[in-house]
Amino acid sequence: MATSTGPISDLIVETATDFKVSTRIYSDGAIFEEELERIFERTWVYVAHESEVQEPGDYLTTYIGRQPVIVSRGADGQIHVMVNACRHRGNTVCREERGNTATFRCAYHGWVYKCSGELLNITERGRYPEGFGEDLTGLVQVPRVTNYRGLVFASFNPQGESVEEYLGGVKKYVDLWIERSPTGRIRVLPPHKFLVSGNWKYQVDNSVEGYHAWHVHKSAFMTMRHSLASQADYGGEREEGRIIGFEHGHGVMERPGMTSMDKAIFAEYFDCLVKSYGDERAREIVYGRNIVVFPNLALLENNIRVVSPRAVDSTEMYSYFFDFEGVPDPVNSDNLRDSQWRRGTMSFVNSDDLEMFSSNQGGARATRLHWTTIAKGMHDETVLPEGGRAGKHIHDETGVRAVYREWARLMSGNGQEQEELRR
Amino acid sequence: MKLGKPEAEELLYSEARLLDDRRLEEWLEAFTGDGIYWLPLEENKDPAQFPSLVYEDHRVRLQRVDLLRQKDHFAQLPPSRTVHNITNVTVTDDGDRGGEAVVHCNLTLYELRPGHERQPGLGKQRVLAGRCEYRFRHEGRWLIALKKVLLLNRDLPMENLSFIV
Repeated sequence: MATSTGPISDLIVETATDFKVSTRIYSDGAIFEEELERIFERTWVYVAHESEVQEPGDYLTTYIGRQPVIVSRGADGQIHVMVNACRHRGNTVCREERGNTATFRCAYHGWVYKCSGELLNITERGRYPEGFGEDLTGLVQVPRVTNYRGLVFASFNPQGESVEEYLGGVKKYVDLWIERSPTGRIRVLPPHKFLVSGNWKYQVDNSVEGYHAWHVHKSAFMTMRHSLASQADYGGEREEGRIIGFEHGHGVMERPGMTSMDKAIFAEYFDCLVKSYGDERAREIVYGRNIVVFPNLALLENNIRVVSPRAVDSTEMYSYFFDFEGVPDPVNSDNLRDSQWRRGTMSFVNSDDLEMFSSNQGGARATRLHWTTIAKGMHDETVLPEGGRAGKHIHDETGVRAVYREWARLMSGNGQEQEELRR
Repeated sequence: MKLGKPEAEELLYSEARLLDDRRLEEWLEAFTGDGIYWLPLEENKDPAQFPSLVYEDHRVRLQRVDLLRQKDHFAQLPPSRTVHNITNVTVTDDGDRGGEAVVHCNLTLYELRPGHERQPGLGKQRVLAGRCEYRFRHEGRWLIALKKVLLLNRDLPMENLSFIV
């Protein structure tokens, strides 16, 4: 049980009193290459929201790990995810970020594919040997694609758990997040895009890590206080809420009353939710939550974060805004305003997180510091009957540990299984 | 009031100087009370319904300057040094028929956070380019009613943008 770069116990160690993580997992390029294969090409990875490919012919281009893919809605109404490389010479077939088309035509020699990926035409077909191309049915399809209530996940792993099984304990919270829309449907808007000089895992674990909030975001809290628009305060160890880490690296951090929505607008919004789901469920829905779906998705009240690794020390993060269906316009405008203010490229909150990830990366080069630690609250966790561990305090590092437990499990996966994946 | 080209240039240069000198409180005063600082993702989309990089009225600009003045706003620790260069100034509407004067120009912005380049995020000189539309209103003096900058790389992944464009 080891990565090709050495035993996993050199990288992650969990004892009764500490949970240690090596700086190498953030800075070693060989480990990064293995992550792409063992994590991004093996688990369920979020690729798009269904509203981005609403109509037949709609498509977008994105990445699963570092594999370029096209996500499209075929004429059959189904969502397809396929490798964005021509079967002839491997040229990028689709260079547009998004659009609508009946076919993709490779620029190099004119091979044509349906927007669902089937090969329609090889140019100058007569100059190929008889029997050529029987295996060339179309673009390489990502074998499994699932639309879970609008969230589209894809997996290069041809077998394994369904998305619902993969979500496990966090599914309940993903459902609550989806039901923030009175109809369960949202329309995703163009994102803000960040480029971070830091390893991808910093962004993932940070979304369910409350310990840093006061230290990193104190300036934003103080600005809110100064502007009298908010009584934002920090309760330190008295802060309410809780943190849960689940199997497969997922997590949820929840706390009451994080809406900054105008009171009158919120009242209208809440009415819509009560009509759809009833009073009790509506209250549960509007509770403040950060949800992480490992390895690349975070769902926040009015924002979707999608993490995309580029290199061991370079990560893209897309911050998506969205409209709820079935609410008055001011609800969506107010969410957009707030989300841009907090989560955007030039936001008051996120910009300081990004600075932490790049200085994390600066420190991760210091391999003479072998071990870092994520032990906060590990002595005081409850194992939940439905699976997962709940931290006693919202700022415990329970969610972070869930990420790295799963990381260790995937990175130490047995060799035979890896061979099968390589086919 | 009529806004001539030399005067328009002087207004743009003086705003650039305020930003490069970090005279941010004076920058706030360069706007009308209902003035807007706007970096759209797409031109001509309603900022209430479509994302912008920033869409800031007086209240939010006050917050931004408040944030930039705090010593533990880490994205600006150390703060960015900037050089705003304004070119291609055209007075599209001199405001003489009443209402606001409209000025278009280009912006080239050099930005650098001092520090050792071996620390991620520091010591790297970056260039941003944008096409600008300014609207000026005369309220005793010419004030900015709209500063709209369409950045060339607005829809691409961007690093730290925690300074004022």
